[in-house]
Order: sequence, then structure tokens, then C-alpha cells
Amino acid sequence: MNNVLEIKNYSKVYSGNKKAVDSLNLIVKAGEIHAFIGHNGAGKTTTIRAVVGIMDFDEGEILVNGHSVKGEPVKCKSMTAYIPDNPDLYDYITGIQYLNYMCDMFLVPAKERVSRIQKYADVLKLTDSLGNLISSYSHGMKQKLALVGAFMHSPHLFVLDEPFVGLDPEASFHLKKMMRELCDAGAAIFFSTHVLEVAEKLCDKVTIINNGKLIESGTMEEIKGSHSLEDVFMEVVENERQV
Amino acid sequence: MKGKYKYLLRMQLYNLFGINRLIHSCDKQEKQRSAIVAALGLAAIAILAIYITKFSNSMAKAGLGKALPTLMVVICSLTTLTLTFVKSTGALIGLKDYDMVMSMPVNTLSIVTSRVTLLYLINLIIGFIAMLPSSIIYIMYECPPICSCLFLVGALFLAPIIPMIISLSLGVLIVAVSSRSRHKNIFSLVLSTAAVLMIVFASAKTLSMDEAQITNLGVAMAETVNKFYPPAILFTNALLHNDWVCFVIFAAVSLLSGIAFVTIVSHYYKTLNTAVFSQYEKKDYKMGALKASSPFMALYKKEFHRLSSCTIYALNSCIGIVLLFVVASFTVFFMPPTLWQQVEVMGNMSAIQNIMPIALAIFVSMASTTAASLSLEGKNRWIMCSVPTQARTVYNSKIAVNLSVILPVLYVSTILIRIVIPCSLMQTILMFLIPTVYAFFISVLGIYLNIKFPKYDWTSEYYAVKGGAISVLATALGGMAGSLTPLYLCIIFPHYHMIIMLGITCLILLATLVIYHKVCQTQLYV
Repeated sequence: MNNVLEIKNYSKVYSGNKKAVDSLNLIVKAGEIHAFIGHNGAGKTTTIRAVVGIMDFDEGEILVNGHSVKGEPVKCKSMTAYIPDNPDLYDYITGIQYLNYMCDMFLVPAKERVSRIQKYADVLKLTDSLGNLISSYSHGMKQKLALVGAFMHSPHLFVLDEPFVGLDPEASFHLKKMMRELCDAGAAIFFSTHVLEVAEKLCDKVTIINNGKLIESGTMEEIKGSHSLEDVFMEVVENERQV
Repeated sequence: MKGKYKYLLRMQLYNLFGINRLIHSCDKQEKQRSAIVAALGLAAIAILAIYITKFSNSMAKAGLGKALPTLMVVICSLTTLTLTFVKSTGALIGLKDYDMVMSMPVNTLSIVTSRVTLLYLINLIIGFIAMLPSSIIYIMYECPPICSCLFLVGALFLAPIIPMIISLSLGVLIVAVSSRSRHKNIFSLVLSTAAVLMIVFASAKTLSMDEAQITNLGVAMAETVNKFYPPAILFTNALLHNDWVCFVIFAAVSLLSGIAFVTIVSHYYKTLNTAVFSQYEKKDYKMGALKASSPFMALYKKEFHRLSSCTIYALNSCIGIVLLFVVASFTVFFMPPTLWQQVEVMGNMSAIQNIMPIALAIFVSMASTTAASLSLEGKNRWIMCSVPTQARTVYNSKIAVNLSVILPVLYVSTILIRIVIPCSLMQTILMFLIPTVYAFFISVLGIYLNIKFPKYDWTSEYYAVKGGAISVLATALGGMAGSLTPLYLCIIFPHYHMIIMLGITCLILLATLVIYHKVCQTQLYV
């Protein structure tokens, strides 16, 4: 399986010489769901933002399907879908206008738009509300709309920052199913989460990050063995603290 | 109540001029940016203060010192009236932190008082710039008794209150009326534009005088003030006749109007915000065919949605061009023919014909949607940054919206003016050409300055469009400098007007190209 995402010696330094992320190396292969876990401020969002090309970085290289995020940002973005931890959307347009806008930006053929929107919006029970302004949506509905928008262009790499926050149980169930289907079709998913039970059940691989440094990375079985992911995470973080 | 009011006000002040960022940010670039913003703000204040000092000084030397305080009260009041109006809805009602603030154990009176106090403090700064230098010069030249000096100090603090309350009341009334409509944004925009035009024309009327009045400015001032702004006459009487009763009435009217406004709005605060935040909802959307567009067109359409959805943004950035259209229409349809004959007899027609291209450019320079367009992306900017398109396309779409707002209105207005004012072919071409160059200039300058000084962390669009938005202020100053300089030179050197206009327009064009080149090289990051 080819490497969809490669992070090589990625470092991000904020002013004051504080390294938010320090020489991170990571590979996400096609067909994999890869969880990225760590406590608040560990460097997860900083890494994710660099991967999707919305934040500049100083050292290292990030490749999407072999293309450099720094050198070919537009090419990389066209293969990537991104959902931030709190998807603030344009309040002044309707749901369908937002989806059509995303289709325009990702060059989704006009013929395929309706069927794709219908498919995902129906699953997430959003179709009836697509004619309303986004400002009238609840947090969960905005999350669902952002998800539908992200699925529109059949991305090769799906990057999500805390995707399950704000979703109702039914939508969470469907999202997990949609994520698995996307990976079965050859895409890769890289997502951060604090819900370790979800990561344990859903993911093929996991990476633990602490204070900007990679602590553990491997298949779920390699990392957790016979323990729960929560126990492993607590132990790893505690060990790091003592060091 | 007092303690919580203080905390609410302090929290708003933290975000006002970026002082808190300057003190606490660890990011060197951010600190530098805040320092530049502060320096530019102080420079603008210094320039205004110097201008007002010089103006006051010349008036005092011409023996018109007695008219100074009244004139400054009027200028301060009119400025407050106009500037507060565009803030009224966004700074008082419909703020993004409404839910958070209302969920705290604090009453609406404290909330409204803290919001109004913040506006008052902003207006106080404007008032001080307008009134303090002239008050000092008045004291130096006229040597008034000590009680007059006390009245002056009192007026510095009291003068902004009444116009501020009038503007805020008008704004709140428009919110209340338009919130009942399904198309509240458009409705609010139309009402607000009409109100601003009314204020501008009333201001022009108040400050206009005929030849006889100018020769006796002190009396003329009192008469016009009496006619259009009665509270100021109380202040004039207090100052010129040492009348304590008049001053006490002036102070009481100012303070009571403030208290009454705060009390009434506090009472309806929840109702008004509920109306603003409530949305027309239906749950019966049926999928139909969707029209595909290029990324540029998609961005362009989205920008237009943004402009029409935000009253403060549209009002603030398009008022110059609306004014141009109103002035042009007025010139064609309502200007008495005798006035034109008078202009011809006095030999002023050729001067008007010569400076007309630059006069049009001045209106164009007031219209920049681009100066706040990036800031207004706010928390949505992750979308703009993560979509697979060049940053240049994003900038171009924002520039295109500004040009779409300016150019059609400019050309229609130019045709209207051309109908009334007879011009040569060359003059007519310049009337179209020069303002067009300025339209490109102001659009590109706006986006460039917004890239340099973005303000994404706003709680209300008002703060991205006006309050502390250095990109908007700097673009306005740049536009004014670029258009007023050639006008000034054309008036001083009328024989060289063509060289001046063409030379400066070429420089503006060159600057536009250089700035655009820089803009295109800038990447977009969150």
C-alpha cells in the first residue's frame, strides 16, 4: 500500500523558541485509519494544520501522495479533506450553497454533485435543512454539514480534528461507517481524538504525542497489547512526565 | 452591579485596541503588528490634532475666537452622530459573545451600560481630538473667566452623549423594525443607508452658510446651531454669558438622555437580540440541479453574499459610492438652472470641469470593501486556507467585488454629471479614466493592508470593519491622501491641472501594480 501521508522531521517553533512539535516522523498508508492522540497542547492541532497546508512550518517535509505540502500546496489540498475541531462555517449562506461552493472549489463535476450531496446528507439526516441559512444550524448540524462538504470530492486523505465532538450517537455511528468505507476505497484517514474508546475500536494505527514529541506509533495491537488504549496512554504520559 | 459592570467593560477594553495582545502575546510578529497599529493610530490622532490646532489658531487670529467652542461642539456632535450610527447595531445588539455574557449572573442593565460605555469612550477620544486643541486656543486668546473654563472641561465629557444616543436610538429602531422582516439584512441595509444619507445632508446643511453669514461667523454659528442642534445653544449661552443654569440644563439633558436610553434598551435587550438571532427556518428542502462555477466565481459569489449579509460592512465600505450617485442624481434632477448660470457668470465652470475627474476619484477612494474582507473571514478562514486554490484567486475575488460595487455606479454617475456639465472630449475621457484607476488602487490597497493588519478575533463585525480595524483606517487615509493631494495641487496651480492629474494618476497606477504584485506573492495561512 502506498504512503498517502508522510511527515518527515516536522518541527514547528512558535516565537520564544518554544517547539510546539519536535522532529515528528509519521506515515499513513492508503486504507488506514490512523488515530493521533495526546493531551491538550501536545501538538496535535499544530501538526494537523501543517498537514492540510493552512499553517506554515519551519523544518521538515510533509508529503501527500508524494507531493510536498510546501511546494505544491494546491495539488495537496485538492487531494485532502479537512474538518477542524470547531468547524465555523459561513453563517450567511445556506447549507446547499455551502456544499455547492465546496464542490466548485474542489472541481466536483456538476453531474455528480446532487447524487453525492443526497447520499451523505441523507445518511446524516441533513437534507431537509439544506435550504436554511447556516446561522440557524445547531453545532452538531454544522459539524454534519462540514462532513458532507468534506466527502464531496472523494479525498485521498481525510484529516479530522476531534470529529466526534458535537455529533449525536446516530451521526457518530454513520460517520464511523463512512470513514471505514472511504478507507476501503483506498483513501487514508488521519484524525485526532480524545475519545480513546472510539480510537481503539475504529483505528488500524495509533500515534501518541506528548509535548510535541512522538512517544509511540504503531498498529493498535502493537501499542496496546492486552491492555486498553486508555491504560497505555496514561502509562506512557506518566512515564514521560517522570522523565 | 457596579463590580460586574466593571468586569464586563474591562473585558471589552482588552479587545479594543489590541493592548492586551501587545502586553501578553509571546509572538514577536504579533507584538510588532500591535505596536505598528498603535503607532499609526497615534500618528492619525497627532495629524488631526495639528490640523485642528492650526485651524483654531487661524480663526482666533482672525478675531473669531469666540465662535471656536461652539464650532467644535458642533463638529464633535456631527462626527459622533455619523460615526456612532454605523456602529449602533453591531456594537450593541447581535454580538457573538451574547450567549456567554447573558448566561452569566449579571443583569441586562450592566451589560448594556458596559457596551454603551465602550462606545462613549471611543467617542470621547474623537471628542477630545476635536475639542481639546481648540479649547486651549480659546482660553489662550479669549482669556475667559474660570467658570467658562470649567464649562469647557464639562463640555469635553458631555458633548458626545446626545449625538451618540440619537444615533444609537436610530440604529436600535432599525434593528427592531427590520428584524420582523424575512430579509432583515437587506431591509436593515436600505434603512441604514437612508439614515446615513439623512445625517450627512443634515450635517452639510448645518455647516453651510452664505456670504453674509461668513462675515459674521459668531452670530451665524449661533443661528445655525440654534436651528439644527438646540442642546449646543445651551452650551454656547453658558460659555458666552457665564450662565450656570444653561450649563446645568445641558449636562442634565445629556446625562438623562443617556440614562433613559440605557434603561429602555436594557428592558428590551433580550427581545431585540432574540429577534436578531432568530432565523426563518423550514425543513422541506428538495434537492434540485446545482449550477457549477469556477473557483474564482464561487469565491466571488460568496464575497457578494458576505457584503449583502452584513449591514455595517456594506454601509461602511459602500457609502462613498452611494453618496456619489446621490450627488450626481441631485445635480441632474434637483439643481436649479439658475445656480449653473451663476457658476458660469462667476467664471468657475472651467475650474469645475478641470477638477471633476479628481472630484470623482475622491468618492471612489472612500469605497473599499477589500480593506475588511479578509478580517471578516474571522473564524471561517480555515475554509479559505484549506481549499485547493491559489491565494491570488482569493484576493482577486475580493478585489473583483469592490470593482463590481464601484465601477457601474461610477460610470452611471459620471454620465449623469456629464449631462449637466459641458466638457470637452478629453475632459470626458479623464472623467472615466482617472476614477477607474483609483478604483483599482483602492481595491488593491485595501486587500494589501488587510493582509498586513488582519483582525480575525472579533466578537462583532463592527470590530473588523471599524473599531480598531487599522486596515480600514489606513486604506481610507491612503485613498484620501491619493485623491486630495492632486485636488489641492490643481486648485493651487490651475494652469498645470492636466499635468498634475495625469502625473499623479500614472503614479497611482504604478503603485497599484507594485502593490498587486506584492499581494499575489503572499500566501494564506490561518
